[in-house]
Amino acid sequence: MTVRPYWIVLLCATACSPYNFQKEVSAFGGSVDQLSDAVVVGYSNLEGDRAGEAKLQLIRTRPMLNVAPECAVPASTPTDFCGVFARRGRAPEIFGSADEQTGRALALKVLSVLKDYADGIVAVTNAEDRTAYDKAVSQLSDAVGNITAAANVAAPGAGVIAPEAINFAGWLVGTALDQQRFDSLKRGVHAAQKPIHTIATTLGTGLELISDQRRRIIRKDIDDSVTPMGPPLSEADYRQQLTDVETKFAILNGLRRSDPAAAAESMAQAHDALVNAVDDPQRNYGNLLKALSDFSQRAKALRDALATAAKLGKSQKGN
Amino acid sequence: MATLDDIMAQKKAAIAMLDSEIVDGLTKKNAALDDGQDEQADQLDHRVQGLMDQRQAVLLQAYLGALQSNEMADALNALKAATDDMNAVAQKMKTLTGFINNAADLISAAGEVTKALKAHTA
Repeated sequence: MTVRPYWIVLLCATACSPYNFQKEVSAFGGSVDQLSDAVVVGYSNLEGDRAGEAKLQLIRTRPMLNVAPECAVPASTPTDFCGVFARRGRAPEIFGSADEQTGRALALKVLSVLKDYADGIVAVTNAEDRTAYDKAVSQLSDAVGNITAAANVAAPGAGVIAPEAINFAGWLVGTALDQQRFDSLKRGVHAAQKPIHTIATTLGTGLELISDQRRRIIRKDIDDSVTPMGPPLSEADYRQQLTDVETKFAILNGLRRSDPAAAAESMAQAHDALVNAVDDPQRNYGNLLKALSDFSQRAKALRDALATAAKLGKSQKGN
Repeated sequence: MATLDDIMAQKKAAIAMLDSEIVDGLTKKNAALDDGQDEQADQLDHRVQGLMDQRQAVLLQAYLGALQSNEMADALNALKAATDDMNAVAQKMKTLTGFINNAADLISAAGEVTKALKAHTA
């Protein structure tokens, strides 16, 4: 551990504290979790949409069925298909093509690294660690005070000097460790700046793809629901089907308006703002708060849109 | 190998063009339905489905290209290194806190033993 001159440590005691960013870093981590959830629930609901679409197709055509051979053995991969499909047909690709599955597996690895990084910046800015450290030093000081009190007869003042020496040494070491944490935070966010942009651009494209695929299935379902509507229907049936379609439009518009690429880009913007704030808190703190708020709103809106399950078909029993 | 910026620029241009053709195709489909031209509407719908297939293919290709790029590999390595550094530094204070707590406990226990011995020999 490098021992810095006392006066530098004192000067940096307030200006270079990593704990000044604890709340903001925690907010950034929370929004990263939202973005990560958006990917996971997006894939999950896309599977649900595909399964629902396949089921509707079977109901419409009522073919004879085959059971997938994989159902007879334990799952060899998380994405093998065990279900029914039309005789002389093909099993539905609930989990997408081989390329899509590759993309999904790689994206989950990227998310894991991203979330670990968010946890890392939370770790170096966690003020509770310093609180626990200070408490430990205080307890050590008290324990030393108690044991050296007995030596006061032979060495007057020992019971006071020794604990104060512990307190001072503890403060010096603690402040040096705080400085190390701040330096590590600064190194870390600078090193991560370009990588975060790369990850944001990539995840944004992945989220666009998931959203696009979900929108297409929901839009087709709306189209199939709307096509037979017309004068032959009773008013009650027409009204009911229109209400069903409106519910699906709400989900479709939620997906259309959530802008996945912008949500992912806002993560990169928030991280840039964090870098600038760590470099110059006085000048850049306001921008950091604004960027974090934007990221939080966009990530939540995207997650909520992708997390909404689409109920395909008519709102009748058996569909 | 194309850079990430190249991949995204190509994706953006392709998507913009496809979106325009999709909306145009569906507008014409609606017009055909208005005129009772069901067969023409079906053909237009079939064409639009092909454009939507292309749209998804463009997105998937860009996505995979970005995930498998050298830039992504470098990005993940840099992020892991930064994370390891921060975790190691953060751990120092925790490790020292644990050590100090142990020392305090030991000294307190030693104090109790000293008191007991004094009381015994007094």
